[in-house]
Amino acid sequence: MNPKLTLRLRNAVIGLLAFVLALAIWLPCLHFFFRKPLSNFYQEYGIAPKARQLAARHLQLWTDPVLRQAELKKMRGSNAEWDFMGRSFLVWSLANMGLRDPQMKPQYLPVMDQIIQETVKIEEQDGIYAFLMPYAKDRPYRVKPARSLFIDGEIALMMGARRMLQEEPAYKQPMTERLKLIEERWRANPSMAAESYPDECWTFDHAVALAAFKVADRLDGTDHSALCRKWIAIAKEKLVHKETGLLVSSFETDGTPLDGPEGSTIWMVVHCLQVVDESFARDQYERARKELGRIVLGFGYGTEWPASWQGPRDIDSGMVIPVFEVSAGSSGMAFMAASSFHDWRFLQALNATLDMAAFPSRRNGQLKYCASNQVGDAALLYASVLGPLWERTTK
Amino acid sequence: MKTVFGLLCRVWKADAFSPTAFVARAIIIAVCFCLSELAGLREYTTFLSGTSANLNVSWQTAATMGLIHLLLYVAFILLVPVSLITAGLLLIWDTWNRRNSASGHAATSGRDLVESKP
Repeated sequence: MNPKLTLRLRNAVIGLLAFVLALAIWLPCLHFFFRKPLSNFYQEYGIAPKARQLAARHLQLWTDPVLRQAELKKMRGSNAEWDFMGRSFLVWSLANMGLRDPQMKPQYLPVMDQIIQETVKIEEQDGIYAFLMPYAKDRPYRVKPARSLFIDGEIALMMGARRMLQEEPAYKQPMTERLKLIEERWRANPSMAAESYPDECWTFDHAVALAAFKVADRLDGTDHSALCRKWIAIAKEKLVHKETGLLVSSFETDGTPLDGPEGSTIWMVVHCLQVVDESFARDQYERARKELGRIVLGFGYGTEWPASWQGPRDIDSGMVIPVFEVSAGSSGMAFMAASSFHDWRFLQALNATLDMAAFPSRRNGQLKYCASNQVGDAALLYASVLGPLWERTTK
Repeated sequence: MKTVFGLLCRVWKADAFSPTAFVARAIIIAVCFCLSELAGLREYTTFLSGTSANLNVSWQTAATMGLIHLLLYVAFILLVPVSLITAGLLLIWDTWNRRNSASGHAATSGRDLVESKP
């Protein structure tokens, strides 16, 4: 063989071996460059620096109409639901932040009121479809008049969170009315299912509504505990995925499951169930952590589906990176569950991923994640401050 | 100028698996990533959340810009350090090999032989 070719081959083999060795050295070290103290993101008391920076950006969005319109236009271009959920997460976050730092209440309360009032106004003017995806109009709702539990539950919880921070009598009646409507629909259906989309019920929305009932009980001295217990009992009977023991994501009005367990749903569900049935919520969290939570090379993430069930990729799952099955939607929501259940190891690993892969951008004391959007950042903000609202609800 | 030109010539002619080539690749990736950052392509990574960064350009264009930045970033955090470590490992290997060869017979290392050929 040509000696020069032999040398080239030898060099190539040595070069490749060195490259593989370098990769083996670098990959386990990478997370150290993105691993920050958890107190940067979440603190038991007070507000973590990241939360402050994320909140500063959202507060600016809601005080600068031009910026807000630009941001909402971007999101509504993809999904009108995100506009709505971005509002909900921000109101819930500000309630928690106000409870953590009462001195900031004068700054937070007007923004919370502005969001709630504007949201209700849009719903009154344009109807429920203003915040739903277009397929909501493809067929009629089974229960008339058409209402979406997605909207009723989240608005009720927004009003409840606002009232928890500081009582506002103007929200008492509309909150009670929305919850009464939900209760009537649940009671009228043996499966206790209410539609978010036509003949499409979401566990996520039912869990939010259950939390709203608990908040209402705390605020108004009502007692919906029997109703909540009954819903949990039916869910355990009808909505549990056999292979994983996790609650399914969506179901028909008669309780027939549609989608199986999904990360973008279950992490939020366990957070909300925490105020309804702590032990069931913890059991669901532990199962979800086992089935959907991953830590690889120090980086944490959530998968959208467990190994035993593969669902369709949709707007909720977000982009799913093959091989590792990293789901943007599930990973974002996993922050909430990890914070709720004080799973610090997972939360820190999720944070390392966030700083590595979400392209943080800091300007003038404000933080946003470029790879995210307004609803994603609002959900992260919520995960970084949650706690006091639920504590006060269960006290 | 002559020195820079000489350096570029050396890099161009370097064996694909030589330490020089690995360092050169790391520098090229780092420069491309910096240019992408300066051009503001970071904003376009919002395509990962299914949102368009700029409504004045088509979704495909915005997503392509975001994807370019994403790939450059992945290359920057993975390939740059790995290439530099590889270069370091190859240098250590060459030094060790040269010492061994010198103690045995006065042959130059294979990598040097290949690199020194015009």
